[in-house]
Amino acid sequence: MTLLKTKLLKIAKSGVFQDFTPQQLSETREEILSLGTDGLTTVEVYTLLELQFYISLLTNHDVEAKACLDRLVDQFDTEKSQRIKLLQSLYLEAVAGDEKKATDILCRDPDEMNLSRRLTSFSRKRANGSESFINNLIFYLDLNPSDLKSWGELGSQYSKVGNYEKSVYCYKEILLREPFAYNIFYLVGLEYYHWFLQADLNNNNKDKKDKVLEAVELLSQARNHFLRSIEISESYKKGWEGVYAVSNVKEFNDRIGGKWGQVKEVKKFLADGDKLRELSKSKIESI
Amino acid sequence: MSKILYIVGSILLLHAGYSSFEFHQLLKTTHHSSTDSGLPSDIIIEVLVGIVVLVAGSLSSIEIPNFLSVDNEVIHPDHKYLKPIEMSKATAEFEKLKINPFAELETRIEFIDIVNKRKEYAKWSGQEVEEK
Repeated sequence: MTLLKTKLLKIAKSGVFQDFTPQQLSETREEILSLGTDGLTTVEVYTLLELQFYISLLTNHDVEAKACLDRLVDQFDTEKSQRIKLLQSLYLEAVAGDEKKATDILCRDPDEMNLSRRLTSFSRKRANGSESFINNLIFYLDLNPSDLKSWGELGSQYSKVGNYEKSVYCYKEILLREPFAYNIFYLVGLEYYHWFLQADLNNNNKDKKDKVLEAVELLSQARNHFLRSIEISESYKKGWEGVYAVSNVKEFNDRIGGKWGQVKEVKKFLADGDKLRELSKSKIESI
Repeated sequence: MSKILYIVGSILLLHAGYSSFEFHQLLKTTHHSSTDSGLPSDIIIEVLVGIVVLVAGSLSSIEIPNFLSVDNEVIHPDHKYLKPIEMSKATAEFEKLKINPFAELETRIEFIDIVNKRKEYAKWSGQEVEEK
């Protein structure tokens, strides 16, 4: 029971349930219901109640979600708690489908920055959703530049529209404050890799030296960030997979190796790639 | 292991306490003052050994507990008492758990697209999706 409680509390704190499959959501809901409240501290009870609210909302158990919300509203001051207001807004948006009421709750006080952050996401539903959402996030980050989650969201949105250069910039903003966030190092590497693929695809004159060197530089940056992620956490599988992907771009390596193989940067890049390919492959197999 | 040390330490302290009581009873019957000779050294040593054994027992009881991964797999920590000092090894536990301390920077629950997520679940479970 303690093991299950610890697991659910970690899920609640990290928010990983957002990426759960429907099957996992369903199982997690059953686990919460089976846990009960015996032996839990007050903080644990309300943390799990908030998790239950999210899970029941995501699994379309609207009555259960309302019951959880009512218990939270009864316990806490709804006028002061941004967290409760966020839950109320989510409930209205999801169940009642009332976007106006949902945004009204978020707009009451302009100083409530966490609610303003949620407010930016409503622009996703407009016709030019991504562009509008990005502009809103930029406006919000001008007001609150230390909000790491918003930098992360902005990076993700830039990535969706194919603006990988800006996506890299956003994720690096997070790394300035969280220099050991190895999952973010992985994302930076991934964006560099996407940037390389985009640049290589758009590069019609594939034999031009400066274009080749630019592509090599992008791949090197991607590789360095993947390597940094596994330097911090050596069992981080995604990081090793990233290293393997950038050291195993055969078509590109063959192309540049033939004509530009004697250029110093290219030579070093190919030599490093050969070493890392086998190492990363064996690590992925062992993990 | 820690339970055995707790029991042994407690027995030693109790025994030392009873020995001290008996010693004082003996002094009373022979009309000697305890300040003349003090406690016998074997009782003092027994007390010290008992305390050391108890402390050792309490230190050995501080163990890193097992934990449950997101996939409900019971994970036994690689190190029983302390985590490795080296960060690259200490973070291995998070990968087994499938939740790392920086996960919320990726999940960003405040930006959740709740309507779409509910539709996805409804599709999976075969529920009717109500368009609002």
